Parts: sequence; C-alpha cells; structure tokens
Amino acid sequence: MHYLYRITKTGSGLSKNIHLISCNFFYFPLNLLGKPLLSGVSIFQEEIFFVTGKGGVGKSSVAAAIAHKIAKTSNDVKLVDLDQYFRNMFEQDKQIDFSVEEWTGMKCLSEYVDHLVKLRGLGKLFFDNPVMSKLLNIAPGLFELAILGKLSSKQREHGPPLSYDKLILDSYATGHSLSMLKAPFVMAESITRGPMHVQSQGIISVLQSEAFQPVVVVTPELMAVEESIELATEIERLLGKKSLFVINRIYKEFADLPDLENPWEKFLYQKKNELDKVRELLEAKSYQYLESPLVTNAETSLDLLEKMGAQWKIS
Amino acid sequence: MENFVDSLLEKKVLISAGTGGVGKTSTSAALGILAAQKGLNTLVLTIDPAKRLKTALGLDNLNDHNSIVEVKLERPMKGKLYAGVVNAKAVFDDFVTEASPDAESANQLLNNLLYKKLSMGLQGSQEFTSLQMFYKAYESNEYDLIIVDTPPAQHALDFLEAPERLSKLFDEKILKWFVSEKEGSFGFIKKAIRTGTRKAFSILEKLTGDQFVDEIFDFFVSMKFIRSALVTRNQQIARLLHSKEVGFLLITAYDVKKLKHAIEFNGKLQDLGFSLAAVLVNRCFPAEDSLYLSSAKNEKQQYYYELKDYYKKEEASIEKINDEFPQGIPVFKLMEVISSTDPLKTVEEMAQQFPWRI
Repeated sequence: MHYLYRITKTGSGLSKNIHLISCNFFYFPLNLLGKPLLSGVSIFQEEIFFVTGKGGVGKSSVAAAIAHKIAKTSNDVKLVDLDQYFRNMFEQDKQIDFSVEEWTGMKCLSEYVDHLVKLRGLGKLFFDNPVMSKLLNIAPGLFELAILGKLSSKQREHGPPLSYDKLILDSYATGHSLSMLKAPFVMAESITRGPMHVQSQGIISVLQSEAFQPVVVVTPELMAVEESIELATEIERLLGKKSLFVINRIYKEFADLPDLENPWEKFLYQKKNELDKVRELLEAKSYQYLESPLVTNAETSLDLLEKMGAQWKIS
Repeated sequence: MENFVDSLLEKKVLISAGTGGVGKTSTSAALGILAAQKGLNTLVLTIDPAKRLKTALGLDNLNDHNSIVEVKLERPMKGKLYAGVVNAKAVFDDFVTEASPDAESANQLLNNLLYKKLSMGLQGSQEFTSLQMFYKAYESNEYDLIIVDTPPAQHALDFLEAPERLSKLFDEKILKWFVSEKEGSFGFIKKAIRTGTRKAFSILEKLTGDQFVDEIFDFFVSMKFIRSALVTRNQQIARLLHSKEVGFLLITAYDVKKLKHAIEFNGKLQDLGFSLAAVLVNRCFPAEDSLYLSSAKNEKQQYYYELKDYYKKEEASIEKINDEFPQGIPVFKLMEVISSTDPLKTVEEMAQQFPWRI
C-alpha cells in the first residue's frame, strides 16, 4: 500500500491556514540526528503530541508528565484522555497546571454532527436512529477519524472551535493507535470524493505538518523496544517524520563494578546493560529520546509527573 | 507444585486472556514449550506477534493458507511444538468464500471497498478470526493441546463478547432494511422507522458524501449472504468455550490496576459460565529470600528495600487475588526476565520458571 501522500490541493472546506501548513511538507523534524535529548536541544516545540506505546509501559503517566513539563512555558495546555485514565487522579493536586479533557469517538462525532447540522434535534435524530447507531458502531475507523478530526480542528479551522496552545493526546496502545493514524489515509484512498475525502485529506495534512509530533513510550526492555521501533517505522512511513521516544521506568544505575555472585547486584547490572543496549539501538536508528526514572517516592500525582520529567530540558 | 501444571495441561484448549501489555504472547509461547517438553503435541496460536518472535518461531514466510509451522528448539522436546499466526484477512476471506452460496455473492463482498480496506478494523473481527482459526484447529484433532493467544484489548472480556457483538451488529432486521431500501421494496409496517432512518442517512450523506454512503449500502447488502453462517459459527464456538475441555488462563501483570482488572475479569468469567484454570502474574519483582541480599553493597540493598516498598501495593493485590479466587485455582508468579536479543531464549527462560506459586 502507498501511504506517503504529498497533498498539493486542499479541499474547499479548508481555510488558508491549511495552505500554510501544507507548504511545510518537506519539513523534517530536527531530531533526525539521533542524540539523547538530555540537555539543550529544543523539544516540545510542536502543538500536538500523540503519545502511544505498548500496553503497560506507563504511556498515560508519560503523557501527563509531558503536559506538566510543557505547562511550565505554555499557557493553555490540554491533556486528552481517551479511556478515563485520569479521572479523579489530580483531585488532590491544587496546583495542577494543565487541563484534562475526556474524549470518546462517539462524543467527538456527535459534537461534529451537531456543529454541522446546526438544527437542534436533528443530531439527536441521527444518533438515536437504531440503524444509524448500529452502523456507527460497525463502520470501522469512523470513531478514530472523529477523534483525529477534533484533534486537528484548530489547524484546519473546521468543526467546533477548540482552543489550546499545546495539546497532548494520551492515545491508544500500539496496534490501535496505528490503525487510528491510518484511518484518514485509508478513508481518503477508498472514498475519492465528497466531504469524507476532503476532511480525511485535511487531517492527513495536519498529521504530516510540523504541528504534530508522535511520541513512543517504551520501558527499557530490548524485545519491547524492538517492537516499538516497528511501530515508529510504520508511523514514519505514514507521516514522514520520526517519533520521539521516551524510555520510562528506568531503574537506578550504579556505576561501580557489580558482585555478580550476588543475585540482586547481578539483576541490577543486567538491567543496566539492557538499558544501555536500548539506548544504543535507538541511537543507531537515529531516534531522539528522553528518559524517565522509575519513581518510587512520589508524594502526589503531580509530584510523580515532576520527578518523571525532571531531567528533560525545554530550551 | 508440579501437579498444577500437569492438571493445566490436561485441558485440550487453553485460552490466554488478559488486558494489553501483560505479556500474553510470550507467556503463551512459554507454556507451549513446557507442554511440548512434557510430551504433548502442542499448537500455540498467536495473533500479532512481534517481528522478532515471529522470525524466531519461523512464522515469517508463511503464505495465506498455510499458517502453521513446527518449531524446533535447541533443547529437545518429547512432543512436537507448532506455532501459528492468525492472518485475520485471509481467515475472514476464506470464511466469506465458504459461507457464501456462490462465487458471485462471495466476490460482491470481497470486492467491496469498505470490506477490502477496513474489514479488519471491524469491531470484533480480529477476535472472530482467531476463534475461527482455533475452532478449525480443534476440529482437525491434530493437537493434544491448543493454546490460544487472544488479541490485545483494553478489557480482557472484549475477547469473549466480541463474537456475540459481531453477530448482533449484523442483526437480521438491520440487514433487511438495507436490502429493501436498496431494492426499493417497501412494506408499510415500518414506515415510521424508515422515514427516521432516511433522515439520519441524509445527515450522514451531508457529513461524508454519497460515495461513502453507497459503499456502506453495498457492504451491508452483501453481508446478508454470510450472516447466518457467521451466527452459527459463533454459536458453535460459544458451546466449545463452555465445555470442560477448555480452560482460561488469566494473564496479568505486576501492576495494581491490572491486578484489579484480573479480579473483575474472574467475576465476569464465572457469570458467563467459563472456567478459569490458572492465574499468571507476569513481571513480578524478585522475591527477597532468593537474593542473598546480605552480601549486596549498602546502597544497592537500600534500593532493593525502596523498590520492595514501592511494590507493596502489588503484593497486597496478589494476596487479595489468592483470597478471592475459588479454591484450587493456582496463582503463578513469574519473575521479570532480562530479555536477550534472542526472543526464543527469553521465552524459554520464562518456561523454566513454571511453576511458581504463592
């Protein structure tokens, strides 16, 4: 299949803003030179961060840590939650510096329908209809498209208004998030005319623009990282840009020579070795990455985020 | 201890269930190795293995219609070990071809744009195809044990509910509506519903365009040919899943949230009449007594206790599982393995850890 689109024409429903963005198609992210992003380099310059990774790697915590980090220098930071992960999480934290929004495919779609049909009641008729509700649940990719549509609505100036300076989407795990990113490509390819085609292409142009940055979260396990590189390769094939990696849950590293007779020392040593191999692998593939420690002593949820991103520097 | 694994392996089918990211595929493979070592001809069906594991198992160069291979390991095994990967598209295509009355109606669906591009994104289709492949392997009677690795899901139950959901989506009434609308044949009984639905469709057309709506119509209309076969097969599968020959393995990870899911999952399993065979907790923090901590350097000892303290909630959750689950259901704790670049070695190392029990 051929996914690497170069869109030259934008649809009538799109604003001139899109033309601006689509001029940047040959933009390459700065992070082509695979160096650890531990200091100095400018990160988090994009507007939208799409955070994914294998299940259980701490994707959501990393997404929140990024939101918290960015909120230090940006005003209106939104963390978007697709599975109610953050519900009640920050209740105790009064100084929370970003907002959390819960999105679902259905909610994004119904907001969009209401916005377009404008007549109150018509949208309800649409969603309450039994045939339509089955259809919406069965038609593959529709909910994913609705989420990406809302995600990119600011840049496309299409759909219900959504304002933010920076948006961090805590996306689905590996396979599902990839099919989400593929949805507009598949749709634009299969449906060759009409609003569905135009909007899908508009979404693609935002995903490929410099406003959008995919982030892949991994734990320092070789096998899992190799799998995640497969994901990042697929994303690069689609969007023409490299993902930013975050290595999460890193065990403390000890510099001294280990006593390999002692199982605990040996375990820590092997862990460190594995981490070094993970770093080498990412560098060999020219990925830039950030590191987060396994935080064992967080006092509050916000404290956890602070400690996770403590080593990241925004220029 | 040994008896638990033995009684586990007496089942004809083991289904690995669990939420995403708990190591289902590796655990299924490890258990497969163990079963083959004990002399059982074992098939491990995986859904979406990592490329390296796929390569290591020899699953790289399979074509659509030959998707099972024998796996050879350095260590000899008394039984044979087979691995299969579910090619969802091929399995679904085959099913459509077999279920359709003739080639023309099969092609009508197979050539539908939405089916071609998106059929594998249909909710429940991945689950359906893996169950379909497992059912065929079971029917063939070629294996002593089949271990089915389930697709990654947010909730472990998605897998069990998927076939039912897929059947319901292709509800007879809904299909009839599409067919009669397409053919222009109207009864007046459901005229009111029709009017409402028409309106809803005109909104959909406004949103998406006429081409999209046309494709959707064609998709549903051609789905009518395979509907009854789909429903029948789902019923057969459900019957088998409820039989004594099938045991569920609940795979979970060392994480409070995932352990909590595990407890909920067990409740649902029982409600639905399925039988749980064992619980496996992956990636546990190493147990203290085996670590000869006393000789470790001070700062490393300290770090150990820091981590142990950090993981105390997890330990408590495992205790809770042990208390809450029905008597006789073993709970295995598997320690974190340092993964090597050779995925088979990693999986073999996991296999050697069985059986752990608290």
